[in-house]
Amino acid sequence: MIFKVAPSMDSGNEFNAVEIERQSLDYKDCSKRFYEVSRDYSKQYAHIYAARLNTFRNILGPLINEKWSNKYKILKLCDLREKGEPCVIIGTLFKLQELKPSILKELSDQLEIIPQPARTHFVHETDTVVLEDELQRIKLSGVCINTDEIVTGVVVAILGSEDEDGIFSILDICWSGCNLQKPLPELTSDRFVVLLSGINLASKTADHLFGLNLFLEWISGFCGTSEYQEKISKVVRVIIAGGVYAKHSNDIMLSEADVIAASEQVDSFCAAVSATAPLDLMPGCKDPVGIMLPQKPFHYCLFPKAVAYKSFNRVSNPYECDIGGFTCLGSSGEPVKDIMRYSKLDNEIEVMKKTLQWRHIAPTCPDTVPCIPCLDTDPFTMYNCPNIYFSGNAGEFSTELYKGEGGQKVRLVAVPDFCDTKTIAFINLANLECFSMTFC
Amino acid sequence: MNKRKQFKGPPPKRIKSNDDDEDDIPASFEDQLAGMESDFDSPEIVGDGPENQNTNIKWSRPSPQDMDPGTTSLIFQQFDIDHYNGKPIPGMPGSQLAPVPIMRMYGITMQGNSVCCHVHGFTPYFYVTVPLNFDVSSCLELKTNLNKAILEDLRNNKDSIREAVLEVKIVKAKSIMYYKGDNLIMYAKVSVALPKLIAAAKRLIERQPTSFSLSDPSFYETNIDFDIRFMVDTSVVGCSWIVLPSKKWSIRSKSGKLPPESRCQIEVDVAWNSFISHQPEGEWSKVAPVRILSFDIECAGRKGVFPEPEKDPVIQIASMVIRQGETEPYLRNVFTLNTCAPIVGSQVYSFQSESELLSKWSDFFRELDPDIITGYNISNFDWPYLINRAKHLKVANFEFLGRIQNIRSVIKDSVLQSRQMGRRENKSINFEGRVPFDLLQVLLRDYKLRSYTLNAVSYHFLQEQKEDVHHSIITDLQNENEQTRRRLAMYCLKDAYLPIKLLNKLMCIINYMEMARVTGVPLLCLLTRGQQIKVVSQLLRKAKDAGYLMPAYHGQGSDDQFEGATVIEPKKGYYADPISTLDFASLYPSIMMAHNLCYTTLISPNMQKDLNLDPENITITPMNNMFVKSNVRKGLLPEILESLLAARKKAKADLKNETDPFKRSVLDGRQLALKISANSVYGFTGAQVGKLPCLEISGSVTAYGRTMIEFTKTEVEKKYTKANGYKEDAVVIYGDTDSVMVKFGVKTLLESMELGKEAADFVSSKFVKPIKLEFEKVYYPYLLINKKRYAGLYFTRTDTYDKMDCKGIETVRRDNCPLVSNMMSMCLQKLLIDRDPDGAVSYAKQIISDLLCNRIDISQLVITKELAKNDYAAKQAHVELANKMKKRDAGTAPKLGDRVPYIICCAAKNTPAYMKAEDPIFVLENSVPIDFSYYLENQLSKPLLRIFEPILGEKAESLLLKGEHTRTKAMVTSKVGALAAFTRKKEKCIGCKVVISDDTKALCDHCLDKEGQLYISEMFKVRHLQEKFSRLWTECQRCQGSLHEEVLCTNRDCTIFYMRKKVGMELDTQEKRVSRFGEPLW
Repeated sequence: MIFKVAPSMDSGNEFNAVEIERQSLDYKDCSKRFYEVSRDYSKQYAHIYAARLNTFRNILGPLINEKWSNKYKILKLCDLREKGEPCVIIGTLFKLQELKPSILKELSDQLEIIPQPARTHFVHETDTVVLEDELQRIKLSGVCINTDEIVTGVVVAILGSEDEDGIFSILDICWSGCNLQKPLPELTSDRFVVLLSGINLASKTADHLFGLNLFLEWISGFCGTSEYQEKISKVVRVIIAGGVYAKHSNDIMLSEADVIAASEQVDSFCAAVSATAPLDLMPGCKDPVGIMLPQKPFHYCLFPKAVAYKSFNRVSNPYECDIGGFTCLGSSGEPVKDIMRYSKLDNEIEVMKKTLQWRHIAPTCPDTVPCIPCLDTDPFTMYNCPNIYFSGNAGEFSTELYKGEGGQKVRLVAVPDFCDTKTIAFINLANLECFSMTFC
Repeated sequence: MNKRKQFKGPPPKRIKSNDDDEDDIPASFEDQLAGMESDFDSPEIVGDGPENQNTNIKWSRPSPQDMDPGTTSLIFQQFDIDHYNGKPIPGMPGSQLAPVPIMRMYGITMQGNSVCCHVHGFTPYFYVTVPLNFDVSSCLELKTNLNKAILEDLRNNKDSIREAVLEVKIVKAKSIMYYKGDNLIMYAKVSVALPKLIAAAKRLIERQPTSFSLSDPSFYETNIDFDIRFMVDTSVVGCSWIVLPSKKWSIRSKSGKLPPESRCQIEVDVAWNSFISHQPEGEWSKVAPVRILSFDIECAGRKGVFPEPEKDPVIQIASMVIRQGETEPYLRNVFTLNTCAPIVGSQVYSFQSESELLSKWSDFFRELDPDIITGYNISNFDWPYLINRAKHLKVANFEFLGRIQNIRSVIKDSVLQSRQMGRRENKSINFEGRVPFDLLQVLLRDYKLRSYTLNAVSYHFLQEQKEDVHHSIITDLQNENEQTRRRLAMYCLKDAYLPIKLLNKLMCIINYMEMARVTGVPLLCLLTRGQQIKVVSQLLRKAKDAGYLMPAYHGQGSDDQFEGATVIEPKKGYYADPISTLDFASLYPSIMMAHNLCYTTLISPNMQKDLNLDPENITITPMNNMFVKSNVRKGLLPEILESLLAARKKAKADLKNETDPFKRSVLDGRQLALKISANSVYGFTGAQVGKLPCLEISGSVTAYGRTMIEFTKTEVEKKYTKANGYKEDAVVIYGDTDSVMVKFGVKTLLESMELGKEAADFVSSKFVKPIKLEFEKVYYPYLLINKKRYAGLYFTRTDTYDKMDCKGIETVRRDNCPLVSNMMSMCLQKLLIDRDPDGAVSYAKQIISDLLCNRIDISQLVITKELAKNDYAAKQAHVELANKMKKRDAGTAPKLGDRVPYIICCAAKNTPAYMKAEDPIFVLENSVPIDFSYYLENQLSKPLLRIFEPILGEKAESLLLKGEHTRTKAMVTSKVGALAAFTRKKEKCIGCKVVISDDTKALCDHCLDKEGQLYISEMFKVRHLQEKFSRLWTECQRCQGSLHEEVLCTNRDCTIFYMRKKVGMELDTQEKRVSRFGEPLW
């Protein structure tokens, strides 16, 4: 407990009401690219892949030069003629996975009598990887690539050569790597950001409601000594990373009625938080907004009470903002969970590190995560290296300070599901330290 | 030149049209290609001319070892046999005067070398009855006179036949028809110079028998195909191994006296009586490494017209070659017109001129020297197109595709009439020594499917969906750049690859080979001929061994009908208790064996007295025909059947012990072939236009069948009664042809199985051997709808069911929309598996209600019909629609041979149904209202009532079709139509449907209170659609095997094709609707 305060000797009799101001830091919402995507459903997903490949061609170009110093030609697959001649190919990885759920199979299986076993993991030993550029794809082989640790949709540059069987054998790989970071702002005193997710107010269970109320009291400064309360006043922002109405892991079909019934409670909760601290409310994949990423913010009509507060901020998912010069980026967890479903990476922090190296928040979107058919841009590319990078609705709290080769420092946070763990994440911007707090 | 007899005689059968002209490539096919093992040696194409050139190690066959006919024997598996007229070779048996018929056997050695073997000295002959006083001098007389008559008869003796009749000699034999005691009858065996003279001789003798000192002659074995005759006389069966013993054969070489005539690597001569033909048993059941070529062509058609070889170029030919027994093709290439980007795993050969493309491909074909040529619909589309195109472009030597150097492959029309398949018009092309094995023909013969497009077929058997590119954009792809041509080449390769995969999966080649071996006919016959020739071949073989001759019967359709199989009047209903099913194993064959029914044992009514037979030795059938018993004479047909069934038993036993998967597949193919062959014997005796129909036999067989079914019924019902100590009185609720369904009244599977076994043994003991009633399965529960219409859960063990068995129910019928079959299978599932009749009823009601409220996916309502010809006498929906679409856009309108998908839409009252058909895409795009009541009344109601009447009784109709659930109907506003131009849609409040004046708003003032709630409801719809949208389109991306290219596929057979289109439109509408609530942020 960081806020443990030694009991003062003379306390007990006196009880002075102290007025404490909520501290604040400058804030800017940087999620424009997530709001402003075209929503034309007559379009297909080829465009977003094309845009992604283009963006990464520009990113990877200089990196390739740096890594292999102009030694090899950068080719497109269609120009690949010389067998055995090493060259560099930039392309999107695609993982062929037998177990990948297929709507076509499901539709035809509807008539089959035997129910298919429900799977949560889709990795199989027969999985293979291909590299695809604008026109062609080629099968990859080689020890440099671990099929179990990559997923569809990542753009890479691969050094290798085509062998006689038409398979591209890999000599080396150039990942995009983490972007460079702008220098961290200096803070003279502690400033905290609170992250939580999965408050799950539309669920049928209520045992986490107590914890939630404790949290409300805590954030409002109703707990602890005045010293402690002063600490709490340094919480400059609360970010709820999805799972507001329903949590991710809930496989049970969420009923419309439950959501409608819960909306008032959600509104009250948000109003209560917003009354004491600035609140950023992100939707999650089960919340009543569109299911496709990027998700639009919640609609105002769902929050008749909370919208009265200026500090109540409905934001997109994924979400990027600038808090006093600290870049904060994260999603409510679906992209990370999806990567875990389609690879053998089984820990949120590992996955998040991978996504940093891939410079992409959600590579499996659109393949296995519903996605808006964007036309000219791929909003999920990481354009800036964040200082705080979080992913919501995780199974348990975990965190790590990632230090990049270019001196980047990124605080990775897997924000646990509150409903299950009654735990929140608590980050000190001054030193990027992060702790969990449990309310029960 | 010689013509192949197969194409002259009874016309070969093929399918009716080329209903498949699409191109495709499925998920990751590219990777599949790339991943295949390959070792190319940068091949160059050189050389031309109609002789095989060795230009490429991959293409050519391995060179044969040097062989000395004096010391080695030549061993090969023959695949095809034909004959030609040629010059006799000194030292060979037979006539020494040209022309003589020479047989040719084509085959492959175990080393993979191709062999052409000329077999000399086999002479055509026939038999004719002669008067009693016929003697050696009459023989001579007959010979001279007939010879003279024939030579005179030949109008222009272009073969310059000098001696038409070679020999007449007296033989003693029996006729296969009727039992006439054991006395032999005298026949004259007339040998003639050429096969075609048999018919002439017969005609001349028939015209004036007396001039040949014959009276009232009858002819025997004049109508036997010469090739079959040869095979029978030399005991060669289809695909058998032939050994030419050392010293008995000679090899041809370019420098030798006899130059080679074929493109085979080894060409030899042998006398007809000095080679050994092994029966395909033991070691000789092996299979040579035959080369199977599968290919597919693409043509650049013009918009809206089916490609014509006179106008539209062939732009690509993809070929895949596999050796029998291997799993992946070892050679893959594509010949393209204009450049094409490389494809990993396949060679690409690009040409600037189409003539060169065709010419080089035919060189490739000859060099490859394939034994079996396959593909999808190649005999009716690809081959004729290639040959006609080559002719049009005057490509020299293209059509020399067979194994004989100077024979061109030509296209002929052929018609096959078969009871099994109906009338089919086809094209046939000769490839001497190679077997065209069109997969489509095989599938049409052996499988009943909803659709026969390559797409549907590969989805059905391989669960592999393939991308389908509309033919209208093929030309665009061809004209753009080398990348788009590469994409096209990928489709083309895929189309060549799928037939190979299917052949392997279905084991067609092995099964057909085994069938050829069992029945003794050449492989090609199996695809081009009906069932009869197989029986003829077997009958002749047996008859020859037993000294019988087969009369030449003139098939004339007769109206004599015999009663078919019996059907015990079904006791309709839903049976919740187990129903045991007793089956007669191989019913018809076993009847024929048990009662010794055969041509040779039939006693003709007028002979009865003369024969003086002991009534003990006579079987009188229920048809009142008489047959002698087997102790007097064993019939040929029972013998054939016995050997077939014994062979099947043996194959099945071997199958059990065999572990090698390839050998297992051979054995399994064999036992199946044997079963089918056994069953076709009965059909042969009943085929009235056949070679030797015999109603006495076939009629007796069915009559026995009927009595046996009745007998079983009475026996079972007599024995299994409460009076005899059983729990309940057994009731036979239904019986058909060879099975009887018994309700023993017991409640458990175990009891019903035990009783079933017991009853089967009990009844069997009362029948003559080998007739055997077997207990096979229990239906539990069982829904008996009507004759030949039933469904049940099929149990052979007590723990789990094997399958759901449906007969005659609309689960697979092709002329219904998918909704019907899907609904029926769901209902049956609920009825039989879940045993939940109420659930089934409510499910059916739900579907009806969904239908009326427009909640059914449009793909479920699509009906498809093939556009076979344009001028149907009666107006038909799909033809009218095709015309309508042509007016809209000639480019994408369906062409002759396409399957036309359509939806029945609303129209003014009394519009005939054929005017109401509309293109599903058009329906989607313009939200044309669908005529749901048509679907309810004309598609759903009958099948539904059929399955529910046994359960619900009379009230079924009112309950299902007129209940509460049918009250709500959706109204769809059309965007087209006469009134659409004058109407303007006013926005309504999303909450209460009140028309609101400000159509930018979502809600009226009254509903504003519930805004959040209504918003959530709408959002749920968005979420549902969004999920569907993303899953559908990513599925298509995976299927096409590319992320960066747009999905072009227009495969309308695909389940998700319409869904994909519809979901995008619905999502747009729904998003607009939600946006009326205002942007989320303000």
